[in-house]
Amino acid sequence: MGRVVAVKNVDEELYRKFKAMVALKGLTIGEALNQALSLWIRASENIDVVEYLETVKEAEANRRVYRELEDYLIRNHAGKYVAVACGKLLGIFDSREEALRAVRKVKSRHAIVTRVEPKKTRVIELGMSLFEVVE
Amino acid sequence: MRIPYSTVEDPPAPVLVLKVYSPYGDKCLTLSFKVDTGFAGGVLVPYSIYMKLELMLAEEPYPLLGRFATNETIKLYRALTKVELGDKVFQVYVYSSPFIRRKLVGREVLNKLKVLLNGPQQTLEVLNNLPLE
Repeated sequence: MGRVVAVKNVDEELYRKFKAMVALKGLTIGEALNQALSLWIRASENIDVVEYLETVKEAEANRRVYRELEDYLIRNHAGKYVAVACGKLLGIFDSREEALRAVRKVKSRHAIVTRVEPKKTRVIELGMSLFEVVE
Repeated sequence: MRIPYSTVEDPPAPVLVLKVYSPYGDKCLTLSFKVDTGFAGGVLVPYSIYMKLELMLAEEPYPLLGRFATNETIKLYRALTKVELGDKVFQVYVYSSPFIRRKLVGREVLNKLKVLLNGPQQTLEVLNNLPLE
């Protein structure tokens, strides 16, 4: 049996989602936590996880703003470009370059720069090169 | 344009050397991408490179799903940026996720090129430099 660990300051909402997903996948909390820990360690070898998580937080705020405005933007500004950063719409522009310039003026970790149009959901095949034969 | 296969892999693998710019054009990296016709996107990079090129500062609003051959999926982020191949410049989506470690060039780029994979000579030859975009 593995070690028993008590952890303080776990985000309640995050833990509730985690538990629900663990149950859906038919795992125990311990098994899923071991997987999560090894994923975190693997990701940390590659990127600055703290910086990444801050970026994710900003990205979520920006996406929320875009989602809320999307219908309005498509109805009224289709074909234009928008910039969203720091959790707010920076503006609606005639060109992508103008939208990029607007992002440059604010200090942010994440920004959305996109053409106003209905967005298609798409699944991207990742190809076999991400696998390798280990002998 | 002829590019020798990468001999880091065994057997050697065809690669494309691309100069990838940040969306703001003030940073760039020249990188070697493994040619992968099974990858449906444009260019796939490790997240450390995605961050270095500040691609998260010009991201599309919704992440896409990337599906592995094993049917597992991950969220893929993407941003449009400028890429140079030889003397040609074009716009391409760069994709990434914190769990990606390889650099691949996929069909969104390859379908715009005539490429000869010369296996016996271990070179990739770009047969035309079409005006891409």
